Amino acid sequence: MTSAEKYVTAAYLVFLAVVLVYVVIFATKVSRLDRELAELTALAKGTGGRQPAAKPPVREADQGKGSGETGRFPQLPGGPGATSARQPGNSPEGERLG
Amino acid sequence: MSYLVDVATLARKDLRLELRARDTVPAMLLFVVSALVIFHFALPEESSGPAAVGLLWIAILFTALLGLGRAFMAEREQGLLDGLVLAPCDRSAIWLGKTLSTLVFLLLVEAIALPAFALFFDGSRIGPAAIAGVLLADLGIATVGTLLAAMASASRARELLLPLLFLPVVIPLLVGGVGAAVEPDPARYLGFLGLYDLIFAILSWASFEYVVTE
Amino acid sequence: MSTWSRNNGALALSAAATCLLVGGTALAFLWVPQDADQGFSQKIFYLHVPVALTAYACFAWGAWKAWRLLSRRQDRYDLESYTAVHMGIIFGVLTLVTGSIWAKISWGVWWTWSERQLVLFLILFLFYSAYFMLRYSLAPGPARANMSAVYALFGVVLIPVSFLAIRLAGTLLHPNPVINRDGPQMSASMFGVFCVCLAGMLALAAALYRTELTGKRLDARLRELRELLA
Repeated sequence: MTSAEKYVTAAYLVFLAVVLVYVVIFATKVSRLDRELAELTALAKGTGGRQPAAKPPVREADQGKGSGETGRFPQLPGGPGATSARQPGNSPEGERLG
Repeated sequence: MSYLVDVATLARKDLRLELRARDTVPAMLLFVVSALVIFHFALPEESSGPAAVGLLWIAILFTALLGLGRAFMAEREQGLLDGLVLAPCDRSAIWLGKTLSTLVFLLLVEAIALPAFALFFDGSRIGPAAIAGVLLADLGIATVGTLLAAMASASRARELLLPLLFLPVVIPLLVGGVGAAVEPDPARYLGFLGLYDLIFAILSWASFEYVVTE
Repeated sequence: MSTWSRNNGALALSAAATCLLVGGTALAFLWVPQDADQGFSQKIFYLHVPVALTAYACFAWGAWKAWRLLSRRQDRYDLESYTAVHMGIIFGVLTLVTGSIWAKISWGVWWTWSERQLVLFLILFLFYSAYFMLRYSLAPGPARANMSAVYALFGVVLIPVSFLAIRLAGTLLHPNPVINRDGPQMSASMFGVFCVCLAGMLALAAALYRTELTGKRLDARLRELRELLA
């Protein structure tokens, strides 16, 4: 590979790297939001049953998570990067709050 | 007409405060002369070439920063800005008044700085075009600087923030000023400085209201 | 905005971006003829210039949203303006890096002051970095929103003014004529591939903008919810 080819490849790789780093950062953010939502739903359930919350804020990110589970905390992780150890799993209760 | 009266009142207030306190302008004067001396030691070989004009401009810009950093200090510290904003005058009058007083401070300081530069470095570099460049750039510095100083004074990190906001915006002024002093055909640079002044004066005048109100 | 557009806009844009960018890059490397003057290194043009133009577009979009904030006084424009500037600076940094690589290929140095676009992007990088410093040093609220908006508008006015200044400075600092790296002429096929890459880059920026905006809005709403529940 000539030196020019190497540099051109490097440039395209830099572009790819930046986009992928963005994806990583965003994935971290989404999992953090997921955890916070789980915390808040637990909080909401703790303060005397279901609150008529203003709006379910996670329709866009929380798609296709399957049916809600009543009562017990679900064992399966609810979505991508849901590695929250302290919360007993993520529940798709976002849809049920509305 | 009352608009201009307001502007004059505000500008006079600032000038009178400075006359009584006498802290900003003497500090700026001392700073600019110290800076020029430092530059000589920083570039012993270059200091008699055209690069020296650049040093003058650096000194002017940083002295202006020093003065601008104090522009809204009194107002913010004593909560006077809220009072001024509530006063029955157009908010942009505050900006114009402050710009005029800043301009006066800058001119006073440059009246000493330019002769000092001529003394320490190469006096032949300061011709009429160079002086015109300095005057035009002063307008730009005062107009944009006052707006940015108002922004910075609202933040927690005042003295840190103002240089960061100020320096990228005044790069064109630097180009114009140095060019006017160094180039054999300064008209283009002076014209460019005038254009910059016009555009940014209008922009600052129009947007000051949004900076001080909510 | 319709619900479909709100929910699936990012999806559609990212799909479009994928097709256009993959297609455009493939065309650039496999189909389009090599430039006679610059050889293979000209291929970087299909990456660097779309990234630069996209950065400009992001800053302009941020200024547009800032203008809307100041004229309409609706809160949501602050977040939109901020996100657009954020995108702009990401693409701006990419422009500087790819431009630096191109300078290395063309002239053997990692930086040159005679490359006007690069110098302009350096100034813009400094300017918009200060935008973030401004935002971080102010408490959230209408004051911060207003000041950020004014600053974003200043930025977009600064772009042409700085470009003029750099052009003037060019004669000051470098009496040598600037090498026109775009090449004397672009054939139709090169221009076509360039347009595909540009469209793809703009679609990518738009997709990232939407995603980022959604993420920030979610964050804000969750915080609001937390306050309601606590």
